[in-house]
Amino acid sequence: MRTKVATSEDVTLEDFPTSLLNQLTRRGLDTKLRNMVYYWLKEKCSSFKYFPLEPLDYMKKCQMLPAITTSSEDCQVSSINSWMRTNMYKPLVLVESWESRVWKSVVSMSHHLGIPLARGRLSSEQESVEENWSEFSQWEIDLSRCKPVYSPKDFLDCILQIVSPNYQLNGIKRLLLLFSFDLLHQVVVTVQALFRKCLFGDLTTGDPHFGLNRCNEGELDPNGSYSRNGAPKLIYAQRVRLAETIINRGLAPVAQEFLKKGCPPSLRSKIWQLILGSYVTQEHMEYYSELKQAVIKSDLIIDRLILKVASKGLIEILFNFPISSLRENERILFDDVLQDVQLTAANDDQYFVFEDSLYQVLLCFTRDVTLLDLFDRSSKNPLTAQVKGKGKHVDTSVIYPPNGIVPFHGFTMYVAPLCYLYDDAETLFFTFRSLYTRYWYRLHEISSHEDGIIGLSILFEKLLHRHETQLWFHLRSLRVLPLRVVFKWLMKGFSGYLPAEQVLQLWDLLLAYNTIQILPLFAMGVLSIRKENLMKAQLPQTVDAVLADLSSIRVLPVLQLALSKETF
Amino acid sequence: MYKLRVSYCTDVEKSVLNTNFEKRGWHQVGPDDDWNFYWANVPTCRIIFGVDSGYRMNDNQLINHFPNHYEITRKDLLVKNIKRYRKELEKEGNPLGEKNELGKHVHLDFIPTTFVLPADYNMFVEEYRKNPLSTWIMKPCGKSQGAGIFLINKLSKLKKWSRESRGQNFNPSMVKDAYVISKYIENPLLIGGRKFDMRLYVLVSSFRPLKVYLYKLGFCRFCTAKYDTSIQELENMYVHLTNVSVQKHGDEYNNIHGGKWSLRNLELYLESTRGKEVTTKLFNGIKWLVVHSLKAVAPLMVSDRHCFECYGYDIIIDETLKPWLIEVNASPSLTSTTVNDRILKYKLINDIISIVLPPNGFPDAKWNKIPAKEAYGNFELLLDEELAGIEIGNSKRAQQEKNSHSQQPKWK
Repeated sequence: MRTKVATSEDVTLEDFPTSLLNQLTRRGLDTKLRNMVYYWLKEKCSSFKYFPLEPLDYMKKCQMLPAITTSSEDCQVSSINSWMRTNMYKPLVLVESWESRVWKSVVSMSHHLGIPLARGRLSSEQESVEENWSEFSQWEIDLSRCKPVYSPKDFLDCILQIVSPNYQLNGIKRLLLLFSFDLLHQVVVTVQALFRKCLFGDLTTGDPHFGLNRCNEGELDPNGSYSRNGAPKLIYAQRVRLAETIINRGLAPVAQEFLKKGCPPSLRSKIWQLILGSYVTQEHMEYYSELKQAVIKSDLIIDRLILKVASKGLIEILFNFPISSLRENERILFDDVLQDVQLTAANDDQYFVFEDSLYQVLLCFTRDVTLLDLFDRSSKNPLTAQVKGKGKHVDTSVIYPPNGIVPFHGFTMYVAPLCYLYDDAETLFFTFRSLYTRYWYRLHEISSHEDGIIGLSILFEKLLHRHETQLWFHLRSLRVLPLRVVFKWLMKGFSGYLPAEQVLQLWDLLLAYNTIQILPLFAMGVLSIRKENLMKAQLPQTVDAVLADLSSIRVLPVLQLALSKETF
Repeated sequence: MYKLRVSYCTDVEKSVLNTNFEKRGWHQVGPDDDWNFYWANVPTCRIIFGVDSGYRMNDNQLINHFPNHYEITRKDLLVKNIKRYRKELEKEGNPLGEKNELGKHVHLDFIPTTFVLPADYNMFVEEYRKNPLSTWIMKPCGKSQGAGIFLINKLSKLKKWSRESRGQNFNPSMVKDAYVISKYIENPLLIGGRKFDMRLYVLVSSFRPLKVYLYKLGFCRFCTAKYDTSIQELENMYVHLTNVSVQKHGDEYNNIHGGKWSLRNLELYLESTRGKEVTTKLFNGIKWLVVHSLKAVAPLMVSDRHCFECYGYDIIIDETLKPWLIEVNASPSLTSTTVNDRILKYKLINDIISIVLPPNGFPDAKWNKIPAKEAYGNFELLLDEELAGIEIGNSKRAQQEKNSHSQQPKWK
């Protein structure tokens, strides 16, 4: 198309630059080109800052897998096992590399089930998969012995053990998260300044916000009259017209700007597609069906994990904590169980309808090798396994799973809210992938990036400490680490905790301001909304109970409250 | 001021009821005692209203059923009444009774074509011949919860069934009017590949004048199996029937969400995927359907001022987002299958009580039954003919005054 323009008669050699530009504008290609640049910037360098691989050594150590896979003999499982045998009985190092733990967990599951990590499916199996493609929920496969590899709680436990070598008090090393007067502190200060100055300025100016007015309505109003006690009809009509113009003209950056003031639910799907560039073209369709074929042809142990994780996340109550089975002195707290019950009982009835689409999308996701690009800019390393039965001198290591991402319990929740927006699996897949590569992947890696989960955790602690000092001290006096409650919210982007509509509104703002730091800010807001009850709590269990059910929380009022604290 | 204590009586042992009554500080009495508020099941109600009992209610007694609610809740009578209502409107030349060129009602086509068997057998055959490939659903008139329902796609099958049932039943009165046969909605709206229906709660506090409230927290009930219209699956009721009482026996039934999805989620989903306009149209269509189904029976109902009733409306939405009324239940289930279900039903009972009781909280049949807006809770007023009448009256009077004013000079 572009070459066609360049070679057309209207572009002259004498006046090449101007005439080419004129032609591009006339054919409407300039918007497309601009959008391409916009998408590229968003995908490749998040926050417009080029972030190299992890600069902090001690962080790297926590995340990375020591070079073990290449060390030994013949085939994958045995090599890992021998490594495990030699290392398992060593005194537990305080910080065990996260990746090696995940890897161990996957391998032990494979061992436990007696199924190799990956294998081709027999043709009969292939048929069965294809037949069940649209109804995996009814596929008869035994998942009872399969456990999610890790839960947010396991990850938090790992993070909490990170020690900063730079900071020592009286010769004792301090845990990074609790008293982090470290390099990350700088990050936090600048972020706070950002918050205060410009970032969420639009939210605090008192301009009518679509979401805010909508949520005043509270309950279902089948009449659809937003005007009743919400936004006047006029504003609604204006917003809709504006959104339609933006969509028709395909202006991605403008769409992002538009979202800052809230979005009518009926147009959200298109606005998001525009911002994320998740259009489904013929190429995309083909790519997706290739992924589907890959799922049909090969059987990864991760598949079971996905079926399990998805069905668990959606349906079952999580009573067993995965990695914990490997560790000894693991305390399964009553309240944790309670929360998971609450989670499933209160919210999961929102997503069960979409169970099958979720399976499809997630299974294809594991086979998507383009996601490996992510590792160029993250501190993570994909797990590698070795192919059985190849010669020793050939490099037989392959990345496992193909996309390099081992799902945790609740991974499904990144996709679930999107099911409300997109009917077809393809759009769902590509939208999810864009969101994942832009934001979510940082939520389960150990890195010092300010948008990484550690950065967010610290930001949360700082915000709470600064604006709800009383509450912070009260919680500390109860020996409750506020982060413990909030961590799973952050890690899943609040999906599964808030009602679907509110999650979408929160993600609206995430996209609009292009910062994932809205999550800790919102988490702080939730705690301050519940402050009164939290201050009354005398037991850690009560704290958890107060924060267990978020179904009545409305995103915008809470955020505005949180920001109002930030303004003085 | 001395506050009267309400005494209640119930023969429906459901915790959502008792917790509600207790929360209001009411005390329980037996059916023979002096009760003020009776939450009765249908048979008890029939006895109380029966000619033989001779029970006369005083002004401070309320009961949760109308004497002849079967006019709307029996599948055959509902159909009969709606057909009659349409005909009347047509005769009056009312624009609501308008028909299109296919003979279908433009505005009142909200129930699937239905015949009562065996009475309307010939009419059914005539209709069937117009479209011989269609599927029909047979339902026994008096039964509920999906009992005795089956699908038919061949006339021969129906004939066979009628022979068999007659063989078993020598008493012709038992066979008579025992079944309705309706055109099966073959293109229901599917979400996640599954069929669902909507359960809405509608409160009627009076039939003449008609006062109707719609509960905003209804839900959708999903089948556990994928929808499939093939012949093999015709017998599989997990595919076709959405009743919880049917679905919960399925292997795939899940106890946590119980296949129930909130109306609000449905609205969000439809608005995001199909657009706002059609979603609004659908929800308006549902309200229209509720009001007109009640208007159709209102003239026949015994408008007893001691009565109120909460109906469970079952509605199926088809692919074109058109709502279809399937049936109306007089005693929608108060059993809670899930935690959310329990919360919902608790709120439902609470809101019903707030609406039917006068502001002082003591049952009074003489009260005008116009509650304050604050008492609506999660209910939404669909129609109050009295309120509407007052408004119309007011505007008419104002109009007349205006007219008389302007006409004054002429009279001089």
